[in-house]
Amino acid sequence: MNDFVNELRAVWAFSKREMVIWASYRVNIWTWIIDVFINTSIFFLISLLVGHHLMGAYGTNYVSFVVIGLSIYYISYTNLGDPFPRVARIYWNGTMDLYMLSPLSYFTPVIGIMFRSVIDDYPRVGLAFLFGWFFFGASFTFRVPLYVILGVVLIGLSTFGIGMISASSFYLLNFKRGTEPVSFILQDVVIALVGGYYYPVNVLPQYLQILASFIPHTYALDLFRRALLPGASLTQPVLLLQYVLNFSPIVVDTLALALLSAVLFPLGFYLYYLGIQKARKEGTLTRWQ
Amino acid sequence: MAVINLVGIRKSYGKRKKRMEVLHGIDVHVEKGEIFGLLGRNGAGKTTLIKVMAGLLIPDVAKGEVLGYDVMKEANKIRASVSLVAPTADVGVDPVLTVRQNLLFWATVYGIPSKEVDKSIDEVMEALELAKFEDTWAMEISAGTRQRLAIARALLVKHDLVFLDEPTVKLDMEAAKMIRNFIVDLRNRFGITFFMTTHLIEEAEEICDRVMIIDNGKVKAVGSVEELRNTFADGEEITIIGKFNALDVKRLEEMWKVEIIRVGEEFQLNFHVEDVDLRISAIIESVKKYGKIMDIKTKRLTLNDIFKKVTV
Amino acid sequence: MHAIVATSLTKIYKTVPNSVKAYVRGMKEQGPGLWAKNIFKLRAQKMRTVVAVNALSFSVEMGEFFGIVGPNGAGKTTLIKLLSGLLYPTSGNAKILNFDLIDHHEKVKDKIAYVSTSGWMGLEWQLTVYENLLFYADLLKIPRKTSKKLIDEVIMSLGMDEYVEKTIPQLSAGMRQMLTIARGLIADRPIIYLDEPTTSLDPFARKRLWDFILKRKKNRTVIFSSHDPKELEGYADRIMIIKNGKSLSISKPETLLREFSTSRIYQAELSNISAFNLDEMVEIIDAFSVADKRIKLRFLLKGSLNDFITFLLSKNAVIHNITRSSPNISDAYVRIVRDE
Repeated sequence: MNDFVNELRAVWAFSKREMVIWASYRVNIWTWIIDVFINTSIFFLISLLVGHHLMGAYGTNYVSFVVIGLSIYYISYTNLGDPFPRVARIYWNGTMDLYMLSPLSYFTPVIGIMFRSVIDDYPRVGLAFLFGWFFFGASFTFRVPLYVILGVVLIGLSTFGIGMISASSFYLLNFKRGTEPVSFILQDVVIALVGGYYYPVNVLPQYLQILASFIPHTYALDLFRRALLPGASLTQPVLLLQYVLNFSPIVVDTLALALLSAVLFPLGFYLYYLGIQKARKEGTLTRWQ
Repeated sequence: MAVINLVGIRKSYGKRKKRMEVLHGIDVHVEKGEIFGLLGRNGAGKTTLIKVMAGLLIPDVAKGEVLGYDVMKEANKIRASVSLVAPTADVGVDPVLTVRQNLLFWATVYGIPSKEVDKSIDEVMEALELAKFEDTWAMEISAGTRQRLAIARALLVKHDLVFLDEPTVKLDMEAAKMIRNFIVDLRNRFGITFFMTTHLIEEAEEICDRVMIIDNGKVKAVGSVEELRNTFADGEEITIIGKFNALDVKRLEEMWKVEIIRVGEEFQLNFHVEDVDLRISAIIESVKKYGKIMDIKTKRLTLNDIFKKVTV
Repeated sequence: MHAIVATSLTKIYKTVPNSVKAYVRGMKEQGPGLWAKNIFKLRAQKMRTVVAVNALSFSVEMGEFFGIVGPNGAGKTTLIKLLSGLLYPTSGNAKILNFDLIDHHEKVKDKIAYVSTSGWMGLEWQLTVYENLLFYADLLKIPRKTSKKLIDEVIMSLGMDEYVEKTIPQLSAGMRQMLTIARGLIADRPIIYLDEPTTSLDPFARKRLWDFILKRKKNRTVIFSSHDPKELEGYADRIMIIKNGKSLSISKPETLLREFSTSRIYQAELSNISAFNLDEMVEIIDAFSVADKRIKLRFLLKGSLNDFITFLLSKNAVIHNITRSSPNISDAYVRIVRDE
């Protein structure tokens, strides 16, 4: 118990350090807002081009539809894409040795150091809603709150699990430089294509829909859109799994997310642990040998 | 009490075909409160050895304990109870945090209870004279001070064993001297055991109680500088020049192995001794009775000579 | 003809310290607006003026070995970078082999070999030692035929043959440093700058490096910085002592030592006495306490040795060693830097 409190304190210390560093650059806040604005606008403009005629079960407001996509994109971007560069940073700084020589668990430094991205990226979700509503006329309802909260937690866990899998490849597969294939293939190819940020998944050919069934984003997007978009249907199935299992689509989404989290989250941590052990054998924990 | 007691450390890197053994069965034995120096040429395996002992690296074979923990089975406990100062002080020092914030961060990482954090930070800052830099950004302090900060970080938790990997590399003479003084001082005050590597042989000779010279992954010599001298030197020499009574000087031959050369008014006395340290006091005292000492010179093997001898 | 003539060379940095830039570079960088973001970050720091090199005027003869020594942050690296055309001087100028540093710096850079061993220095991680050298030889536009011969020579002379086939992550710190040196030396240039070349090298490697440079000495001018007094004494024809960007002295090692020629320097190891009590008899250059009350000293004798020994015996001090020592550069350095 005491150990756990210590780990939490350490995560807090990491976060505080990241905040102090962040705050020491005073213009950060302005560049951050500009960055969010440009990013969000581009996302909207692209999505408005892609089209808004195939909403089906998700109601009629396409901008709201995209706002949800954007939010999941931001969360996924951080949870999935961030662990790898964090591990890389610890490696290149040479601090991995020092963290290892402390009573912390193997994972605490990575989680702690990620806080920078959390303060950088998570508020963007709120801003996306705000922009969508203020500039582009998005509107929302708020149904089945319990499922929404559960969905937020589960999509967070499962994407972070994938993130840790991608981070473990740093040591496990020795990807010391450049992009890292796990997050590249998943995030930039598969999820971008079949995850359904811009369009409902059922417009895709069937084999891509099968692929989409194995990605947590698919279910999270479906869940949030049904729960938050005005005029969306809570009963009409859209995803393959919802056709197969014959109960409420929202429950199907939640179950699928829970299953994926239960697999991906522990797998990510286990692979990362294996990676560290491998590095301890090879002497490649830091760039100083 | 032995802090490190390891036998037969072997470590190799690489895949099957290109497998290269870096350490070929090294024994290390370090007592509590020692400053132990590890010397060796580039690529002799110094850093590898340190990492094995700190539990950062899994050796192929090794038996024994570090701080009473088994090196193979309890590496996680070893890791939690030793400190390491990396050769570059920038490691673990965040440039845009103040000196105090840096230490605060590490105090939490090391799991120091929140009530004691301030106290232990004040303590190490006092011990390493960092108090006046407390609120300075780490990037604005000099290289020597930054190295002190790195050592302060390593001392935050009262670990009995601290590994220093080239603690004075890239420091100027003054700053390096200061760091050396601190190391000895900290040992004397807190009984901390230091295990350090260095390329400056004079540095090891100056502050290390015992040294170990390794080459190609094998131990070539281990012991105090004094012991190594006795092993490798074939006698030492004390030369005293002075004005003495010619008759009295003759009597020295009865007591010592001495060569007497007359140079005009003066005498040059060459004493051949086993160990300067043991004999010089007595020799000076007896010579002084017979006249005036003008110059003394001792010839003894330096650690540098020994190092060159054993690492061919 | 002089190899280098510097006239009131000055460099004032009006920038944030290097460490901030390095930090910003290492931060997460992504998304649009990144470019502006980084500029903003640097601008946001309070600008500071640092006089890194303060009106230095000196000249270096052809074929001279010119040593630079000074505390960390004294401006050694800045000076070397100025002289190699990597930095633009704030004021002042210099002539390198009669080429103007400001007007013809592109000609200057073909005349010099610049070896800096700090940091990572862009070694290619996936390549072996040999391939790294070959790559840099290509960058220097040395034809393959000659470059292979040159590289083999450098590798043999610097004793790198044992690890030519290894890639960078497999090398130890010292080996990596040797590689950065070798990389700087494959181009056979008349002027060689060495910025703290030997910091993490073992004594053998140091010797090999200097032997190699001495072998090539003919018609070559070497400017090097170092913290090692033995190195300066052994290899420098003249030594420049620099602190806070100002030159405190430029002289031959013999001249630096001449100051001590009349005084006698001893080294002693004593116990049962503290360095304080010795003040009336000697001028202490360096005192250092070993274990329990045992001290090592280096000192200048004020009176005669006989009186000093009488004094020690009267205080019941135990003598473990006492020996005459010849003055060395670090004695002179300590004096000059302390007086400043």
